[in-house]
Amino acid sequence: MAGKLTYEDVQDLYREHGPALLAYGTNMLGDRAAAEDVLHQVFLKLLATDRLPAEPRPYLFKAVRNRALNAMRSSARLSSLEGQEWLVKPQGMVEAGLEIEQVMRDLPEEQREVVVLRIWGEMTLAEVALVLDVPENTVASRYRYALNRMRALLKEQTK
Amino acid sequence: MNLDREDEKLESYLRQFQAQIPGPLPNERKPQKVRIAALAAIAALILLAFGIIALREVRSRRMVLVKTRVEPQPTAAEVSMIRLSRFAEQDPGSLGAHLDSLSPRLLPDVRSGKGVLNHLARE
Repeated sequence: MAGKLTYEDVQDLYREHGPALLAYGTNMLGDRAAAEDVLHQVFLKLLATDRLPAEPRPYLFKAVRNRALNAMRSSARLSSLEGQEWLVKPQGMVEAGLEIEQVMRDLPEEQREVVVLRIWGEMTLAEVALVLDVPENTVASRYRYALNRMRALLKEQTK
Repeated sequence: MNLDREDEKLESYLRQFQAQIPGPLPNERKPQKVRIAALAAIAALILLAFGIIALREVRSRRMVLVKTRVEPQPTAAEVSMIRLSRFAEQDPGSLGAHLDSLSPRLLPDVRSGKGVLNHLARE
């Protein structure tokens, strides 16, 4: 996909990956508005470079991660996620959606970001490892723990 | 990593929920265009202002030139008695006209003002 970049290309990438990137940024920063700012910075920088990355998806998630980490360092913000909604909740599934957001809040950060990248970023574990810059086995292990914990938390909530 | 059936079930359950769509991407290229247009407009205004100032300057200089243009004073040679006598001998017919042309440059205009000369001139 590498090549000369147009504004339309960037818009297409934004439409395709924007929601997952926003979910990822919100889960990192604990603030949807701050995550949206980060997202815009990443895409505007991409537009300024005038070059499409060879692998846009890992590139974009990594860029959002780096900027979110910088924002967290500079503002010393705690990623509480309290009151932040980032999932679409269709009619009849509002409660279930809120439950998932609550369960995600209760996950440790390391596990939460793996889940977001895997589920909403639609990435393979190898791609997640590339974004997080950790071995694939580490990602697999974090993901396994996350799923087990989520299952347990969801069962607790339905009791 | 091999996921068991429970994991796959949970994954597909989670994927039923989509992530929210972010707000529209701000377009930085448009403001750039607007900025260029604004700069061009400012440049045009500055040029226009300079043009107007330059035009006024030229006009005022012309006015000064017009104002400061002084009627040439007749030279001593023109009004000397010898020269006038020679002129009368050579061309007596046009002596009167010659004196008329010299006098406004030599004598004050008695028709302006409210002096005695003005009064006498009217009489």
